Amino acid sequence: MAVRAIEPDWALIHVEKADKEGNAVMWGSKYDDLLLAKASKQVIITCEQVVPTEDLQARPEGTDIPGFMVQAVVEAPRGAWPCSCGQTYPFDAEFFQAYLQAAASDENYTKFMARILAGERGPVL
Amino acid sequence: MSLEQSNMMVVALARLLRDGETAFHGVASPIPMLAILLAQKLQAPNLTYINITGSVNPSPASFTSSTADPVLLRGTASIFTLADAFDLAARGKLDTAFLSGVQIDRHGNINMSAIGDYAKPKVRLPGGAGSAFLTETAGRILAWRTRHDSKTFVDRVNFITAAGARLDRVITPLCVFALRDGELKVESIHYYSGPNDVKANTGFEVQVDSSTPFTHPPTKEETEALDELDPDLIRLVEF
Repeated sequence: MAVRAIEPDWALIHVEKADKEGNAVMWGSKYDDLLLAKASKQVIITCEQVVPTEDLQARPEGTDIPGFMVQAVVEAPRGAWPCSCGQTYPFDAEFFQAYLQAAASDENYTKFMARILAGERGPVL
Repeated sequence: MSLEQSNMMVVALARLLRDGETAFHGVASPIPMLAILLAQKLQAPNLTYINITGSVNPSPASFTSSTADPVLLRGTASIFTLADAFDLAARGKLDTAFLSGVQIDRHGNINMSAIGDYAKPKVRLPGGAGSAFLTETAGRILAWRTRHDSKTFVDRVNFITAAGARLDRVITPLCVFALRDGELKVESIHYYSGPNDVKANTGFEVQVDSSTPFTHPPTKEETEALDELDPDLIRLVEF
């Protein structure tokens, strides 16, 4: 065997909509997310919005990840920040510029991360 | 200068793309993205363009510095996932894939993994994503690198993330390399550069002299089409 399959303990996948069972809907690009869900032992779905299961039952072909593969669902609006979430919001370019600058020194990086972990989200970061 | 170089690189890549074929690029690939879209406007209207966002022949209205951005979904009528793209390559139906590398060596090997010793690297690099798979499955690899110096073009990469066997050409700001008989050879030097410039900035021995051909400068048609495609100069983000 050339390369052993990776079997992650956890996959964390952020999506636009999910129900309480973990049935998850991604709008637009899927990237590696479907493979990640299938490959991992356990899956945590974070979503912009938890919706009633009936909404997904009305159009099951729109569901990307079936709920039986998912162990936990977290409603986390803007949970993909500072990255993008499909066409719901773009990546935060100013944040990444600030990150690049801060990451040039250990001291600045530590301060920068402390501010983020304290919950700061503004462009002033 | 960067604009002249980026124009030349996009145009040189675009000229290599053929009508009716399939082409794919991944993340952090603004120059290949523009090359594919430019080729579609010029000699290859039936080139099938697929990319990491899963779009097929999109018509983006604008770009961001990310080439994994949903702006590249505009106009697609289907979502062709990344797994689909790799399956396409494995079936022998992906004609061209675009790759870059932090280091590229004389045999066309690509390093995206580590500078220095792999176990204790001086710099840990982001990794090759699908590079190693695509170099074994795509019809050909077109590589690009916006930095041409002897730290980038080395005799031997510190780590082979993706082997160079199917690499066809490497486009740099100074020249076009072609991999022939397992060795990168200078095919043409960009019109604003010269043999000494290429020699001095390449970390392995290259055969260049006054008889080495120059890359044809971008034509008026090519320049105008590129300006229309990319008025915000996303093609400069890698410089």
